[in-house]
Amino acid sequence: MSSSTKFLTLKTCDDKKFVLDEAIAVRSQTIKNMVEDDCVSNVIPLPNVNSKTMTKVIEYWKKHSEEGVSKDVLMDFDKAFVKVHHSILHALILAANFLNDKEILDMMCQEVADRIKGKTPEEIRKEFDIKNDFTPEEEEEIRKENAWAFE
Amino acid sequence: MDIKEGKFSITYLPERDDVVNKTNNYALIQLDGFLSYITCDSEATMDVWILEDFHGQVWSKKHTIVAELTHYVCPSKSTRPNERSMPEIGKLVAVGGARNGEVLILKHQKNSKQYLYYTKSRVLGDYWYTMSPNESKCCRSLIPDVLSNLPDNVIDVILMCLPCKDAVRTSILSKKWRYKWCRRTEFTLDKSHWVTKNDLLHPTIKFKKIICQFLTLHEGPITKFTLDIVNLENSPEIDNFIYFLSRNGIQHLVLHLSFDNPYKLPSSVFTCSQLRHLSLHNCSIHHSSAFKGFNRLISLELCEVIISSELLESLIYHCPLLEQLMLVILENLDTIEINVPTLRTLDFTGYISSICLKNSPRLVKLSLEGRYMEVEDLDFAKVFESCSALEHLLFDFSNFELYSEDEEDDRILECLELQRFSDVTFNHLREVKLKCFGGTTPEMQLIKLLLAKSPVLVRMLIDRWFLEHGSLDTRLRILNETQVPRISIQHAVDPAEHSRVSDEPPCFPEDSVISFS
Repeated sequence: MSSSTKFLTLKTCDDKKFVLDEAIAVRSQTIKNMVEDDCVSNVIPLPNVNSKTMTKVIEYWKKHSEEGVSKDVLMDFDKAFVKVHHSILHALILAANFLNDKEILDMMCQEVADRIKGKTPEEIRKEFDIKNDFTPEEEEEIRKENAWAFE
Repeated sequence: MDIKEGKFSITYLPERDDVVNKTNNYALIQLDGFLSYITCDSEATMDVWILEDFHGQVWSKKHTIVAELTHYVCPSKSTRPNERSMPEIGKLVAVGGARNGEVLILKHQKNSKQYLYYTKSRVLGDYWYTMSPNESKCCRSLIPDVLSNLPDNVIDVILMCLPCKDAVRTSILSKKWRYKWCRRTEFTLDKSHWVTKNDLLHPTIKFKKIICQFLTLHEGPITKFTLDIVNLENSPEIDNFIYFLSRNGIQHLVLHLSFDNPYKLPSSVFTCSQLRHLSLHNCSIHHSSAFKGFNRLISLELCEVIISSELLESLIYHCPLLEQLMLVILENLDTIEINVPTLRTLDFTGYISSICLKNSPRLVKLSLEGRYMEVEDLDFAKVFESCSALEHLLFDFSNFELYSEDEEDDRILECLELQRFSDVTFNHLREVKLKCFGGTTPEMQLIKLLLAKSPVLVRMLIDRWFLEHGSLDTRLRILNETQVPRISIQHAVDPAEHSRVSDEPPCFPEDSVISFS
């Protein structure tokens, strides 16, 4: 191991600790800023991220930091990575947003968009458990207002 | 057994029996009035089949429970570690169904612990935990409408990933969603918005309806706007909308209008000072006194526009950061000078005589598609005068009157004389493409010139369309003439047709390749 390799310890909200190469951890802009501003003591607390989600994020970071991985392999990895339950997707989005990792955030948002795309409003509500709080009259009004999008 | 008739009959399982024999983890239960066969074929998946039609023996797979796609809820107060993690799907066996088949009751084979699986939300939970009256809301409240509760900036990204129509349709999901789309910063309006089954309103009228809504509801900047519409009729509303864009931080504007009835571009386009990319197709552009230059413009595309030479020259001149320029000018304009030191790529289609390249030290890609050129206008020395950084060069001879009936036309040959290019060297030129190559003397002269002046040339691609229609003698002559000592020739042509030609060995297997493709 080269002497220049620095390790950071990340602590998730459920008190799990992750020891990670700094070079990988700075994929998170939030952690990068902390490192650059020199306000990193021993442990970086991540109060908004649980260990299960952090494990997934680190899995992604490590894969994308590996040397000599072909684009196809990464594409397959990403494809499999986003195929998770809504609740995990949601947790990953919030984690990526907090960690400020645009790459993961964009990929996850694209996945959510793909799950919305082409569906009727009823199907989307069912898929994401969204409660329709409009009265039928209001709904009709919105349909009229945006008629061009409902054609 | 058919109870009414008192007859027994055999029902076959959806999968082969030997599969069933191998695994002892299967169950037959009643689900929503149907016979259901539930089986695990691996540690992590479970299939739920139902016998839809008893007489026809039609089985259909209703659900597949996949561990990765399942959300496990556990009692938050649980102290026992084995309750914290999801049980292996393969260890569970179905014992019954509830709520019209929406909920499966599962039992762990070893510890007999019972679980509920909600097929709609794909949630798996401890039986007592998810069913107990106190915590009956637990299961739902753990994943309540996860989407709507995301931070605004995230929802903005999601909406941006959706096509325009899908994004606007989210307005009807719930009150929270009604105006979320209004913060979208990019819009693309194209054929899919005007050509619909339901009504045959004129695109202009439909477009007006849409922009009217944007004007009233949209908040914040619109940085990217693409409009692809045919037969747009001039109207104050549309001009107002472009004015609206000019005041709302537009950076990327694409207007593809129709050629039959060119849209007169409103002067407000010239006040979009934030523009980085501007693409205008089929419209007429007129001088505006408000134009102070596009100080941030990087890429400019003008295709089949109606514009005067003076205005075009001034427009290009007032883009100090321009890197990409694409011009399709079908009219024969007076020569305009392109003097943009930052230019990196230039695509030009039209009368070659309409442009004069000056001072392009960073130009790496030049593509020229000529149009009915007069022989005497051709002056390559002038065109190449300042392109010392050129790496890629494309000529399209399709409309090039490079060759004339009289192949010995001295004027063309004269202007391609090597001596005239004594000051010109393409030290970086790596690739040359010649489309619709006809094999005439001036063309051959051009090839020789490029070969002589380009020390690092790697590839010269020659499109053989015209060549194929020429005589074999012409083809042979060309091959002989292109056999410059340091060049090897790769014949990427049909071997049968060109066998005689291909038999000739490449003279020197050196660094450059000429391909006939």
